[in-house]
Amino acid sequence: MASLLVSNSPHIRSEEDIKAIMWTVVMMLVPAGLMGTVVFGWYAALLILVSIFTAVACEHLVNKIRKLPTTIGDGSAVLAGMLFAYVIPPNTSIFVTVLGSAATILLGKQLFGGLGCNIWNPALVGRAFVSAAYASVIFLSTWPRIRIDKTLGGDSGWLSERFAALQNSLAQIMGNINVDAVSQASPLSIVKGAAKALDANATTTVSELVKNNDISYMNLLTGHHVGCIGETSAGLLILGGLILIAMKIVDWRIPFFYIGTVALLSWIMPIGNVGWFHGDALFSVISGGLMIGAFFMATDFVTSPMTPLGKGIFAVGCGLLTVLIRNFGGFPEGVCYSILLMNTCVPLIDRFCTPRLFGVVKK
Amino acid sequence: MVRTFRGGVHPHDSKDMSKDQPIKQAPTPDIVYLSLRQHLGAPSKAVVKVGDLVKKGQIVAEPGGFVSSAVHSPVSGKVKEIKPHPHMMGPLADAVVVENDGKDEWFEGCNVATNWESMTPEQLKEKIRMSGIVGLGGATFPTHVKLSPPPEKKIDSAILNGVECEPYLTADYRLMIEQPDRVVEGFRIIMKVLGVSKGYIGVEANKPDAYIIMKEKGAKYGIEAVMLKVKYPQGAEKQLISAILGREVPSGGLPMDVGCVVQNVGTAAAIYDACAKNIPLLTRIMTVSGDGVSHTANYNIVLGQMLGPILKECGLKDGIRKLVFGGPMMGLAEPSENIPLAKGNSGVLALIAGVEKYEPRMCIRCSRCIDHCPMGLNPSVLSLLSDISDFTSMEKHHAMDCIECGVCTYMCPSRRMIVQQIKLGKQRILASRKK
Amino acid sequence: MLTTVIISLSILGVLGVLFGLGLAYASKKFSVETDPRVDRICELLPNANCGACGFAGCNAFAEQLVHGSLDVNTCKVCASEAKSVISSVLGKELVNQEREIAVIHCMRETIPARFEYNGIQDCRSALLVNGGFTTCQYGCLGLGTCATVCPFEALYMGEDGLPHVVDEKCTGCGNCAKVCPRGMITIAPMSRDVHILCNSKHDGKYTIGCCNHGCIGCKRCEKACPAGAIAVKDFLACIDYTKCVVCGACVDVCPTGAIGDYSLFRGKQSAKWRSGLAAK
Repeated sequence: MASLLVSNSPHIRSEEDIKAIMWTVVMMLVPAGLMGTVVFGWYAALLILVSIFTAVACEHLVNKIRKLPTTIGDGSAVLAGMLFAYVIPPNTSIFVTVLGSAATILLGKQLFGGLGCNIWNPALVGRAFVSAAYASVIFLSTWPRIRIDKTLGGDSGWLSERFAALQNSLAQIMGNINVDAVSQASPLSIVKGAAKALDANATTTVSELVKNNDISYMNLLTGHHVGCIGETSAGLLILGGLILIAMKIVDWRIPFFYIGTVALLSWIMPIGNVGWFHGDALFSVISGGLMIGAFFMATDFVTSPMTPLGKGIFAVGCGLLTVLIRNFGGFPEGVCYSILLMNTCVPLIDRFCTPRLFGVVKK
Repeated sequence: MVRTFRGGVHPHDSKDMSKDQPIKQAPTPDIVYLSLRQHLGAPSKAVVKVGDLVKKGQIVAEPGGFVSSAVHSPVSGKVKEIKPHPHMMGPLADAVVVENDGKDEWFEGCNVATNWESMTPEQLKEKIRMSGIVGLGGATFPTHVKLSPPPEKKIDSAILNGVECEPYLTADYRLMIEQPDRVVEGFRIIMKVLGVSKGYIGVEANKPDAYIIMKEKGAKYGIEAVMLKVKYPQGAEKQLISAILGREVPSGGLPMDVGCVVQNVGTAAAIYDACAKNIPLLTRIMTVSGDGVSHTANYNIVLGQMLGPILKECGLKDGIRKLVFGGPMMGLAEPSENIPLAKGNSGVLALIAGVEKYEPRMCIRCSRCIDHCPMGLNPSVLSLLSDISDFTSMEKHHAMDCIECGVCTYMCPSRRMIVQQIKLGKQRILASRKK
Repeated sequence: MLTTVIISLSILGVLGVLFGLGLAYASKKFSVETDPRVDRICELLPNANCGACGFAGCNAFAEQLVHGSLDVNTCKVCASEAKSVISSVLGKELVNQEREIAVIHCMRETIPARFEYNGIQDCRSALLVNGGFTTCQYGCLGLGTCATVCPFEALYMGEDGLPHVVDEKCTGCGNCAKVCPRGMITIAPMSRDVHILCNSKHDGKYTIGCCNHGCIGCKRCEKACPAGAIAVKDFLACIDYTKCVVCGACVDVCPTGAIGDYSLFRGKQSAKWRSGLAAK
């Protein structure tokens, strides 16, 4: 008989390992990426693939340099590259995408020692890197044109329009980046601008501003509006996130408290010249990058707290910072920096939120 | 109402493989190896010499201290040798080897029915001590020690552990449905020794027939059967008390600190044999299961029997990767099948599928271990501290409260060996305390 | 444009000066009086903070030297020149002590493993799993915990799976000896070059079964030793280094080659002894 394997107990393990978790999350992100491709054209898909490829290549490179067994099979590099592509605008150049994706893996993850050691969410580090180095790439005032007025494939013009979009995409690859751009701001900046433009004594609510600017809630949910590649289709992201929660892969607390805090505070907080308690919770929640942030970025295991209480505090903190940046800050969107800031606080939160020890009664 | 405790997991229990196999009497072996290290505490001291003739039920080793236990010969025959032999816990420990002469003669005074109800608690306790009874659930803590709480600890309830929360194992289940009277009578003896009138039997909800039998048999003696949710580690003492009575044993304390004593159903049956029939602990019921044997079984088998032949009888397949004595969550993996049966061995699992070499990776802080830890620890932090040998900080993070149930390691997606790391930490902490 | 540069430069400059003044003030105001001797001794100590003296680092040890009644020789690591300076700082006489070095008491070529171990690569953890995976219950597990704790990088794991001592780097601090779960590393005086290179307390038959170079307790060395420095206990010979005269008589009579004479190889690596043995 061959030599028997002897190890410490337990001798059985759950089937869920890092690989299973990461690839499931990747699968849950795919629909939002497909939607981004439909809305923004083939160039968006190309960016996603380039980003994933760069991330995997960087991961492999670092493993080779450090003489470690390669870790690209576990899907964490694919996930990071994918998430990075989802939070950049659809007309970013290939060069910037490669740079940002490399920063995601190298600065965001491997610099700290690889999966499990990083302090900040790698994809957001990549985005922060790109927005610092190429501010004009991330903070667009002019976003590429999209078919806001048509519904998906509902009319005969869909195919021909797709064809035109393909041509545009090819043109973009060739180097004419903003070939088809129109002066279109993102819903959040439209509303923020409108709120600032109001009279000081106006009693308008945010909902009215949304309505006046022809922003449809339905389009926000399905993703038919300008924004970053993967963050526009809030509905698909919610679906993917809920499946992850149902599969018990991510904890429900972080998305729940994050979105809840944003909803509550954006209703309460004033924005521009819109006064207190005149916000629009639904609009704030489904526009911008909140959904991808709440379901896929803030819930990243490595950079979020470990105890239930800590998760709650972390999520509420993220929500508070997001609303503060959105309503009072210089940027229209605050999800990226709010999560990064709260990531920084995680060691502190973990230090003070310890699980309740069995047999110790709280006084 | 189904009661339970905080944390825990429900691994696939695989009990169907052996739960319908009635208890089979294993053939008495020609030779038995009675290890002197079959229990927690000091090793037993041999009281026979090489060449001595012993009879069935005769004591061959006496307790080596208060926290220790006696060993008896399960066969009649000649003591062949006393020398180190592989045993369940490690490579070598002294063992008394007895050659069976096949006469099956009982030692004087053994196997004689007595009326235990006329004995005093003190007499019963001494009987249990001299019968070599230890916790048969797997912990092998000498039973008489557990039944001797200091007078300042008031015991108000006794709990019988029929949970058998480990996957695969069905020995306790078969015992409860085939020999319920032994269990209930034994529990009554425990209650008498402790002087309590209230007793509980905890049974998991995946053994409804055992629950019904225990309920019927126990009703007239003030014994309440409690249905518990199927969850591991329900059978751990502290978790069982929390599930049944809602009391939490304080950190660093013992069940007697909350007025409870927990005993396993197998132990109760052995106590009954000792007190009512004058039979010391000679046999135990053991499950043989896993995908490495062609037919599973529940055996009644004498202590000290080599397990190799038994496994062969069950159709041990070639190419088994792991041999586990006990359950898969807390049992011990063994390097060979030629190891004698010890008191605490509730099952032998021969495993082929699902056994692999795990390469631990960095903790990804998924918090699965924290969410499922029944003791409310932070296994992730403990494991990382063990990595850097910072045992002082491990103590501050309550490493000593760990019950080594293995839930964290079972759940860990990074395949970290958390239990082994915490075990090392506990060992180092104890060593530094001794200094 | 220029004004912007001037303004920012001056703001930064003023801030720098202010902070500098603040720090200077704080260092005067909150300075802690220390014994100058402690600082002086601290400079002379190796500052490896190995902990072999039993104190938390060299600074703590220096304070104990000045304020307590410790002997300088409690520090095993310190070079003798530095020790003499420290003694003069303390105004004490230095008792010269011989340099000590770690000795690995195992020379197994291969020990047949009893099973395939899957677990943490740490000797102390491996010992928790069925008592360790080697057939010899006293020999080296080869997972290198001793090498990881060595603060001086004086131990390395060789290709033969055994730790090897780099004689020049080893200070005899004893951290490896403390951490080895099998207790097969000891600290011995540098000049005593003959060592029992086995730790097996198994009986001779069992030892031969697992290892070619094990001590079988035959007592030939005990009889051969002119100084009476060797005693066999529990099937294992043990050299009393205070009596040993380094004559090498025991080395010649040992039937298994379990006694090693390092004097031939001093300054190289202990592994050399084994290659020499193989040639013999």
